[in-house]
Amino acid sequence: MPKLVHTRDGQFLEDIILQEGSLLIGRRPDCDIRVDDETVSGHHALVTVAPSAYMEGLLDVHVEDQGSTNGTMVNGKPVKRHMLKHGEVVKIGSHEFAMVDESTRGFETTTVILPD
Amino acid sequence: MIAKYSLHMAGMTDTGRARDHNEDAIAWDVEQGLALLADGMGGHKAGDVASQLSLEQLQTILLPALAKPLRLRPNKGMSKYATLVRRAVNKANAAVFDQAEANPACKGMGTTLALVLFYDDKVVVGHVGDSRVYRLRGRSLEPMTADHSLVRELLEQGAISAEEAENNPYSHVITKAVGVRPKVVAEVREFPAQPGDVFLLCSDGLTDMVDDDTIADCLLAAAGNWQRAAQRLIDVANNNGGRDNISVVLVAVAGPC
Repeated sequence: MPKLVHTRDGQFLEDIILQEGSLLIGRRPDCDIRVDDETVSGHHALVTVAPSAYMEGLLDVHVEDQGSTNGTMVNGKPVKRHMLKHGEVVKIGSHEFAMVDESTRGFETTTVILPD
Repeated sequence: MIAKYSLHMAGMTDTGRARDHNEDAIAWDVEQGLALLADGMGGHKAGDVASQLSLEQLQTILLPALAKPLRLRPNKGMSKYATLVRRAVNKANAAVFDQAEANPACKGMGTTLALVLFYDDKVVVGHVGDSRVYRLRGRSLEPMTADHSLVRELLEQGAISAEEAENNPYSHVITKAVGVRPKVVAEVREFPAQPGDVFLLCSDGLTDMVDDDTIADCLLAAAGNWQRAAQRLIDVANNNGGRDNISVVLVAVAGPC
């Protein structure tokens, strides 16, 4: 299962195991992941987890900015909607969410799949 | 020399900044108008075996065949040179596949391939996997190959958008390789070549790190010094991170022989 490792200023806060569905990140009480930081918007970013469009049995994880004031960054670059891969880090205010996905880790190097 | 135009070739391969060894291989023969590039894969250095073996095989088959009149006939709308290339790739594929089967240390190895072969006023472009051939004509750099990759195929089917295809986690998943099955069908196409054209063969270690505009700028800035252009492309890829092995072969088409 892919997970997001949630940290703030290098301090580990929690592992968020990703299952099919969505997680809203923001400051408001109705968010799934509440982030207490003035630079974070009420509804800041949405993480969606769905069966992979690429490979059977895997999950695709997208992060989508919800029109936040200060933006959602992935590896230092602002994104609107972005498909997360192993090793990428989402930054929302002072909070970081590092994507860990052992199942796609091997795809960092060239891999062959052959049609049957 | 069977090409109508004289050719200048240069190339370079580099381990990059992140990998501990180089699994790419390059080769060229100006006399016969042939340039080759392979990007090997497979653990424990088997990738080097696959890329080098495939290029050795291709040279062994193609160079003697090109040195004398070709007896092959055009086949299914392909010229005899395109037919020769496709057959040679299939033989190289068999050699790599046999080696992978015979040697446990080489199990699962394979390689991508990109090649150009010049004859008359034409160029045969062949590839397998995600190694690419580009053509610079005037100031415009155009891809001559379409990657055999999962992301590319889904993009062509309209299943994903161009935006989704960018920086995609599955970008290194390829759907075709030399040496992983008993047979492979290389994609082989032919184009007219003209003086001034520059053809670039490259591994994904270049194109993952350097965008097309920057590649074109490096080629245009070379002012005909192709070895320097090759070095420049590798330097830029390394400066941008050098996450994979980087290889380039350049073929510049000059005036008639």
